[in-house]
Amino acid sequence: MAKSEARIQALQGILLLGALAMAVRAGYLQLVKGGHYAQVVARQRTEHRVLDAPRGVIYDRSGTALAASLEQYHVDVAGNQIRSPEAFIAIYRTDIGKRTELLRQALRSGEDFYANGPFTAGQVRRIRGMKGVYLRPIYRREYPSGPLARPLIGALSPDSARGTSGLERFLDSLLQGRPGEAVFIKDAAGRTYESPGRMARAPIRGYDVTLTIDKELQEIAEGGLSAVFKEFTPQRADIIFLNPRTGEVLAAASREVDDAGRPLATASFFQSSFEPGSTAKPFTAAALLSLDRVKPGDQVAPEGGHWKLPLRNGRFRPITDDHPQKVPLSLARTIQVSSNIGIVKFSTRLNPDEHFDALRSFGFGSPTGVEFPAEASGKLYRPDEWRPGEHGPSVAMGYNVEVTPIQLAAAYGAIANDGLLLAPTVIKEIRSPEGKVVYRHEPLVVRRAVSARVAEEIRGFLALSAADSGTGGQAQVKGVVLGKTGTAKLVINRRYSNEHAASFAGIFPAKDPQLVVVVRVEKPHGVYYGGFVAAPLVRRMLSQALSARKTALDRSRLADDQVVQTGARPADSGPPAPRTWVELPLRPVTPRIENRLVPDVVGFSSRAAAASLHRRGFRVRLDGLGSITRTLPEAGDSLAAGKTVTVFANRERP
Amino acid sequence: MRAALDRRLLVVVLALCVYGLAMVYSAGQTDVPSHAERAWIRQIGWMVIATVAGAAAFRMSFRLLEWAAPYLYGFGLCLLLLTLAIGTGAGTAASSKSWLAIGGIRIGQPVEMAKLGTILLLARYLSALRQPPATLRDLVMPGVITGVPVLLVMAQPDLGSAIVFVGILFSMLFWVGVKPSLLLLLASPVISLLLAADTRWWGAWILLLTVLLLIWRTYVSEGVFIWIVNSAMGVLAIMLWNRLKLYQQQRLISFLRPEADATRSGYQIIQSKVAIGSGGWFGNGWLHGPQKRLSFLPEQPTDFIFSVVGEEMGFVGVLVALGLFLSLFVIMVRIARRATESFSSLVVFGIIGLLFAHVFENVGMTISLMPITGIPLPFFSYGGSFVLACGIAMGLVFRVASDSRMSGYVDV
Repeated sequence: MAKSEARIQALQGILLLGALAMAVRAGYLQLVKGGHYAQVVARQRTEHRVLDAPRGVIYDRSGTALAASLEQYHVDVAGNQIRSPEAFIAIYRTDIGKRTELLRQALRSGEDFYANGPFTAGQVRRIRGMKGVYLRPIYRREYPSGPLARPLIGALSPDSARGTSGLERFLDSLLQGRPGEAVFIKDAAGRTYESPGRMARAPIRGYDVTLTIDKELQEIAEGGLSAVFKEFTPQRADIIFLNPRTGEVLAAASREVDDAGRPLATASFFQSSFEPGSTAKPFTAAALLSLDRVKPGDQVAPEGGHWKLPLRNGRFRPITDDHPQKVPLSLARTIQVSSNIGIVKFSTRLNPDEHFDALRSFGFGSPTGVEFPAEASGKLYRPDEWRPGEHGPSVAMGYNVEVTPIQLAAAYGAIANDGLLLAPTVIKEIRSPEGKVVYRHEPLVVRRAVSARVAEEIRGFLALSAADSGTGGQAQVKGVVLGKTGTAKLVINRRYSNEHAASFAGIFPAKDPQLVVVVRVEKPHGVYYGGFVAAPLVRRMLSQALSARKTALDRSRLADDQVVQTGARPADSGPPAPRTWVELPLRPVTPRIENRLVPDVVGFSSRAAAASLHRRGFRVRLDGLGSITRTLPEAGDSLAAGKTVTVFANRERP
Repeated sequence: MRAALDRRLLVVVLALCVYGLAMVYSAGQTDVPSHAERAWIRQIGWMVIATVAGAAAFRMSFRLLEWAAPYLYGFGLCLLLLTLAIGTGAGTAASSKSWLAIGGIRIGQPVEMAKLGTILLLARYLSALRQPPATLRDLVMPGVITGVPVLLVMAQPDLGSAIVFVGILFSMLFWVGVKPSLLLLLASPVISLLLAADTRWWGAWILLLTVLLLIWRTYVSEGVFIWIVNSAMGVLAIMLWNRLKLYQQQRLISFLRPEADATRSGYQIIQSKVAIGSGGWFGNGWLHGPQKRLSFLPEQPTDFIFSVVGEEMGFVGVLVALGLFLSLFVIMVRIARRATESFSSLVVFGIIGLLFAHVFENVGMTISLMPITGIPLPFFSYGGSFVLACGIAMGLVFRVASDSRMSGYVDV
């Protein structure tokens, strides 16, 4: 065949053109856009995955786990990698799940199978490590002790990643641990290939926290709540047990129902304040004694239960006693019979500043600093806001002042602890994942609220009050409980209503106190007197605590011959003899008042600065408003507790 | 005694075979267990069979082939009909019926045999002509010879092979001496079909066609016929589009805009582009392409083997492969040119058309120059019947080269 050269040239040209087109296109992809595609590849084939860190465990004081994170698993099965499908299905059926139709189907067709558990470590024990089995660990918060102390422990977000309330939230940064990171290679089907060498960062488990909570006491407290709810169907009740020598909260229980009777999860022992009523009377008495405004033998007239307090403008304020007294009232008897008339009459001997300072010294009106989110600070009006004839008498009776159960417990703790106010705490110890103790609670003295002499005198009053003849007689156990009842009308819609808050604050035992107990019951039905609602509950709980095996109570102190002499006034017996208090297991505790460093609060809001300074036992004088610019003395200076720190803020007070 | 094999052709073919086998081996080396792991061993087996078949073809008399061409063609058509009846799908064309299977074992794609049969029959018909076809009427017979298998493979449907048939027809017509203007008129309905997607383009094309018809002074009847067919195609296009299977539509759309559906129909294009692109100048190294290792590439050992080439051997490897193919074609053009008689020359040229269509279509698809059609890359893709067809085809080419050398033809 005669082919023209032109035709052959054209042909070869076409072939060359085709090859050139392909080469140019490939060159464009590989050389011009190569870098971009290389990045795409790297993105496609690697997957950075966060490895969850197990959350730290929350223990009670004796090491019983209250909240722990358990590792559980989802199971992914690569159908085409299982060596012997039948054997695998048999194991799967006994260990993991009965429904195997889909698994069987996946194994037959070589597809992937995902079993969403979570399954426990025991369930996946046999399939772990088998070729084609990929375990995806997740952590679930488990509560080995059930609902015990849950309001205190708090809750986690639904994904278990963060604490949303309670201690889980307050200690979140510690409990959380640090998530790790691993780089996985993944294939087109999204299957990843575990390569341990590519672990970018190993997860670090969270710190373990040991609470000061005593599981047995907590159980007793929660049992007590159940009993109260069964008997009196209140709207809310709280119980706190506190160790007055260390400030450790041994039990904190709350229960609350809404108007429809549904239970609410609250931590009202720290977060809700109430007007304490008569349980606050001993603090006014303490102020009177500290300032020597009441001499031994001082008495006031009982007025037959009805008295008109003369006001400055010539009008009167009626003060009444539910249990009218006939004989003249000493201060001790005033507390013993809880006479409003008595305490108001005595309180007129205090000016507002003195009265305020005394209550402030016991921690009223400022948060205790207990390790808990959103602690309420209660309410104590500044003395310059006190109206004559209104606030003074009211505060003396426990009205116009609000406290939280923990504040009341800490204040009674100060009375029990010879006048030293300790910062209450719920955290005993924090350990790092390696087991190193990174924090151990040492009793922290906030300030001396009253002298040891006055504290002992007040304890004498409380002994009378809790004796059979006092309002708190129902709380008595072996005659060694000191305590004061309270029954306050509740403010509803800014008016005093016919609903009541019954309370009891007690110290146990009388000699070398080991426990402070505070009970608050709001809106009980039927009887509402603290002496009938709260006091018997305290007796029951203390009896249970005494018969409990592990509770850290020193029973040797409770010999029968140590019954407090009722009616005696131990105040005259001079300074108390030095004594040590011993917790089982043995650990000496010697709280002392020391000069302490002024914290650096520059830049804080005035509220935060005041809270920080209060927590360290200083009084605060605020100059201006807004954020703090400087303090006097300056941060780092040492100062005795109870002294005043002046903080200067950047804005003028309007 | 036959003369020795054409040495240059042998070298190029051997190089392509070795390169291809290496890539098939690599395609099986993945981190994900796959059935392709041992494909290279089977590929060697197929290559041995293909060599034997090629040797047989090499020994065969061309006169015998010329005589048998209609029967071979008819046999191929029968197989295609059989495929339509009992065929199964596989690979990128999983939903089409292109495989013949006996007892569940796929034994091959008959279309490969039909391609060879068509080449032989076309060569026989065209070589018998006294002068090159000059009018459309002269092109009716070659059109029918190609058209029947095209319709049969379109019914499978297998768009890629249909394109290959067209490639064979056009290359052989060109070689036999048909004027380019006539080829353009022959192709005009297809062009009209493609341009019908946009009315403005199609209008312009009809206008251009009218002018060309007037300039080239064709027979009036032919001119009118061409014009009517082209106009009809514009209408037909819409109907045809609606008749296309969904996956075919998706492939065409995703060829134009792969990102429109990146996870499904556009997936193969994107993954192939990504893999080739990430190869850069020198690639990730043989056996070490990460995309391949993790099975991101679709149909690694078969249709998308060139993606593995691009990823692992880089631009240099791509150039080497394309260079080998180009030299193969140039050598084959020379062989066709110095063939002693027109039948064998046309056979070689049909084979050039066949291989070139395969290479351009396959490589073009991996670098998104062409739409995805599941046809294999000669010497590279794993697969039985196509390797066998290539073996036979190369046997024929070697025979033609050998014959011309025996006859004393000296290449200049």
